[in-house]
Amino acid sequence: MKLWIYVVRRLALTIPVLLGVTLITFYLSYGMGDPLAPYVTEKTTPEQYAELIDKHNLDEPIQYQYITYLRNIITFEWGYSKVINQDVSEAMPEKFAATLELSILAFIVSVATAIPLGIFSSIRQNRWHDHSIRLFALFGSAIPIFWFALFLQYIVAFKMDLLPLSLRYDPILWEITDPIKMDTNFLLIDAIAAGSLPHFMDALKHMILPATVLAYGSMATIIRLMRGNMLDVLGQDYIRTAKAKGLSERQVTFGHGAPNAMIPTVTLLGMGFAGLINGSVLTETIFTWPGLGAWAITAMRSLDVSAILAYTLFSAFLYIIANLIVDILYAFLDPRVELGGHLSLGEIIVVSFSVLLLLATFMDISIAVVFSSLIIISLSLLVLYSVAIRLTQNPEDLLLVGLFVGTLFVIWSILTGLFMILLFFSLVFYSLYVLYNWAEIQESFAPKYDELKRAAYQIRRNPLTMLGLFLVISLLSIALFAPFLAPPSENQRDVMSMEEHFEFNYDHQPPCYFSCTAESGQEDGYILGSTDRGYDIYYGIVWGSRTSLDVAVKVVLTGTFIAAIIGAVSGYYGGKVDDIIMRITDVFIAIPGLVLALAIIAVTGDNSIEMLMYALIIVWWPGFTRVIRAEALRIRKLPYIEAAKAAGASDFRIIFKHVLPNCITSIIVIATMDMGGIVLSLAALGFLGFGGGADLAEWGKLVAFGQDDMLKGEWWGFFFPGLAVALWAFGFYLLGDGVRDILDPKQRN
Amino acid sequence: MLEIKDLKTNFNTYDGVVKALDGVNLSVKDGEIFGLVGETGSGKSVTCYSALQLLPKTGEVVEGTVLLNGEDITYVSERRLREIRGGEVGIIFQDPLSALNPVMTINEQIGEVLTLHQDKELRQKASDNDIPVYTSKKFSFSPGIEFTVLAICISFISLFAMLGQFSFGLPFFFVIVLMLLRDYLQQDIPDSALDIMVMESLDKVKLPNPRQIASSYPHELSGGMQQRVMIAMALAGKAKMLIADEPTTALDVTIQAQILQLIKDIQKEENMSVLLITHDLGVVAETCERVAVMYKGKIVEENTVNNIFKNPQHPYTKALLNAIPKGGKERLKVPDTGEYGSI
Repeated sequence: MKLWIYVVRRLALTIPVLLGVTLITFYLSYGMGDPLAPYVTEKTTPEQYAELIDKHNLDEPIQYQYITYLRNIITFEWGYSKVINQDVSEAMPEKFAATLELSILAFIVSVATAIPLGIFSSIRQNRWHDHSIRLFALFGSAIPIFWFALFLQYIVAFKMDLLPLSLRYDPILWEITDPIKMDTNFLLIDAIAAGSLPHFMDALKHMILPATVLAYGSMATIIRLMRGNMLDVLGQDYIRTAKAKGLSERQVTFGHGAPNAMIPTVTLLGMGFAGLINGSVLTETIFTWPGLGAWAITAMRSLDVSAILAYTLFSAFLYIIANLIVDILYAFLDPRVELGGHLSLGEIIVVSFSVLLLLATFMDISIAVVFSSLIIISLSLLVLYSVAIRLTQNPEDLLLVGLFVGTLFVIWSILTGLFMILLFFSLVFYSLYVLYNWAEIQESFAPKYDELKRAAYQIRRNPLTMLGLFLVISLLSIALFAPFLAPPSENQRDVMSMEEHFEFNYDHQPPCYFSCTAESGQEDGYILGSTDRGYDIYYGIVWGSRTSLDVAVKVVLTGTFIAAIIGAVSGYYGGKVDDIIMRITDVFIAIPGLVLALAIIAVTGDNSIEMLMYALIIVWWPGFTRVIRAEALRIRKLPYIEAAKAAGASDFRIIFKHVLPNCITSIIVIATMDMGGIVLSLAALGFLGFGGGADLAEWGKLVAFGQDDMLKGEWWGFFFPGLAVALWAFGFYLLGDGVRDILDPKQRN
Repeated sequence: MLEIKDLKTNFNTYDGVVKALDGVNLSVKDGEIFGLVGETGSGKSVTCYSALQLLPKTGEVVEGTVLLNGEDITYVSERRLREIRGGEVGIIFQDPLSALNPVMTINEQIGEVLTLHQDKELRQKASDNDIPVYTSKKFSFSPGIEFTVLAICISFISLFAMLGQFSFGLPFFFVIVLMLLRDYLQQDIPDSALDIMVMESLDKVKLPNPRQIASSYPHELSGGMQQRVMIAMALAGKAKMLIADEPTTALDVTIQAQILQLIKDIQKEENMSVLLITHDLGVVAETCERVAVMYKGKIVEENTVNNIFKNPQHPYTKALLNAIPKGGKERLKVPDTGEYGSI
């Protein structure tokens, strides 16, 4: 049975990844936060505190602390959560059941609608059905999930009163008038077990809105992927064979096309599940759903370290398991996949070391400490040794070392803002150069002129790309011309502060759009209304675009540099270098992005916009690196790389002259799309209360202010800032889509 | 048998309309092997795709008629067209691996043709031998679906176990037990008529051990075997006409000879008509009775094989014949197609 060997291998490989995750959470709690916070309650006496320090080996060196931490994790002593007054391991099953019930429903809904929609869209390619489905999908990924949730809540639950506003069940029905047993904590199943229709309907009604919100976000990616795969498959030779057999169009599409297109789609479902966990943080908070996500957010707001770390670890664990199932499913769906049945030597060493470490931790801490130090020392010696060997054999590789140093410099300059100045000056110099050598450049450019004309023609022909371009340009000009669009007050010291922009102290003002001065009895009003503290929403949106632009540009530039260099090197060299880099990205990817960013910000307790940026970069680079690496891996096998090698080109030269230029298409497309994605994450963080200073102009934070006023009927508070986020993301996604169509000749019709 | 008159096909590409066929005329008589030769891009394959309307979305037939046994099939209904495809005309493609669906077994792929075009015979066989028509094993899904069910069951059982509710997991446990016992419970069920006919058709193309081949996936077979499977599939619907679109290009020389021999044998046995498309004059000399030479979307010459080789009329045909390496010290002459641009 090859399959069982494959499963065991994959299971074994998750152990080192999980260990890596614990390293990150350990670093977060011990390096930055207070490691004893989970165990200290109000009743803790100084003697008990000293005991705790002794028990957790806090007076010992750091490796002792880590091993103790690891031991606590594997023996399920996850500490005490202040916000719910319960032990973490005790509260976990109930919270988990609540989240899982919602996620499973959302998952089923999204898969069941997205796959047929994707198929339908592909068989009606380039007709209006296709365009509307694509637009629908694009909306799904561009609309901020929290804004969509608030929108539905306001319209369906608050205005129309069709469905309950929040919570998991009606407490009066379930706890007072007709209590039933809640054994499984899956309320739908409990209601069926008790045979009670009212309970079942009540639980279902409470689930509809949050499940819709959760499903829509993950639906978008599945639709797009399914459509692309279907188009790919429908062009294959075996589709023609099927038609030549005399099968009808429908039999060909569903019998031969769909099963083949499902294979790559299935690989995304694991990611989709991670997306649900990410989304559940926001959804549960808005609908006060008593699940893991809402618990984690309250914990993060009050620095309840144990709950944060438990949540991080737990979602990483869930994610790894989901991906494992998907991988095995993939191997089953596609008969061509060879199940890699045997562990390589490196894998055996890593896995057995991890298992031994865990065993030692379980049995005796000091042995484990010695063991882990040995592992670390021998690993670093090994790395140093192989680097030294390589450098003595190929002195040219010193260039690679220089490359890494250069990358670090570029990252540093981007983060400090120096890069922008350098970029500006180089642009000035470049335009001078172009002006000076205009005739020559024009001549050398002539052959490319046709291509450019074609690209321009394609942009003009595609209305969606034009829309994207228009949105992006107008949002960028809003950021650029902010001082003219929304002039700061006379005495305002910090233009980014909404608190200081105080002209008229009117709280809860409805929007007066363009007739502000004509209001009776009022000199002036707020164009888009104001929040309860009198913040001008229009001012916040205009200046908030600068925050978004700043963060998005810096994160994307840094991420692109890291990803391009590391991804290209990793993909091109393959082998051990690749293995090590991929395992590191594995660890980062295992923790859902939003959760990791939240955990970093919450545990460091530093709520500045810079910290937000660092957190987003840490979250962003691994996924990006993997894409570039996959590209480099593909390019490496192409004949022209062989040819370049045969011509005696150095690795360094090949990477820069052949690999990276050929990755540039995907780099540009992903970077464009991520300009939108980063702002979505930024706004989500801001919405959860982690958006820089308390009154910094930032869109997500404005939505959060608006949420508080929503139940008074003040819809403008959450609506306009959320719309700004949605338009931003929508514009960049449309543009990225269009750019891909132009740059990728395969997609041309 | 098959008659193509003044067929014109265009492709609408980004850079404008490309005329792939510019008035093609040819006729394949009953029970003959007709060769269609020409260089790459001359429109050989497009001719056969246009005849059965298998063109990609960008292509369209703009003019001309296609007669099959005297019936005009250029503008027939989709339903009639489906009866013709596979039922009256079978097609073999160039690269057998990409022309076979990678995720279906050979049994499923050939079975599809049989259910579509041999339904009566299948039922006849089933009632004669008192066996089921289609499925032999009542509960048999693709391994993917089976595994999904298994995974869902296991995860639900472990979920309920985690929550301390073992009784909820019981139904899922029964499903797993049933799945494990299924093969045992069903082992006495005989082969269906469909299975038997699939194995017969594999036997006809001289494939050894048809039972094993029927249950395998395309990538598990060698190139020659895959092409034999393709032939079996094209013949399974009892077609009277076979279109072979460069059937031997992707194969090596020995296998090529075997496949050509097989096509010749089957043609003789069933008295079929074969339209053999190739760029290899050697293949034509070996197999065909009559041959047409195609160049730039037109038939430039049509004659019996002997006449073509002895007395080529058209300059392009002459150039083509000159290009055949003759051994010895004579230099290889490649026709410069530019010279004949006015044709």
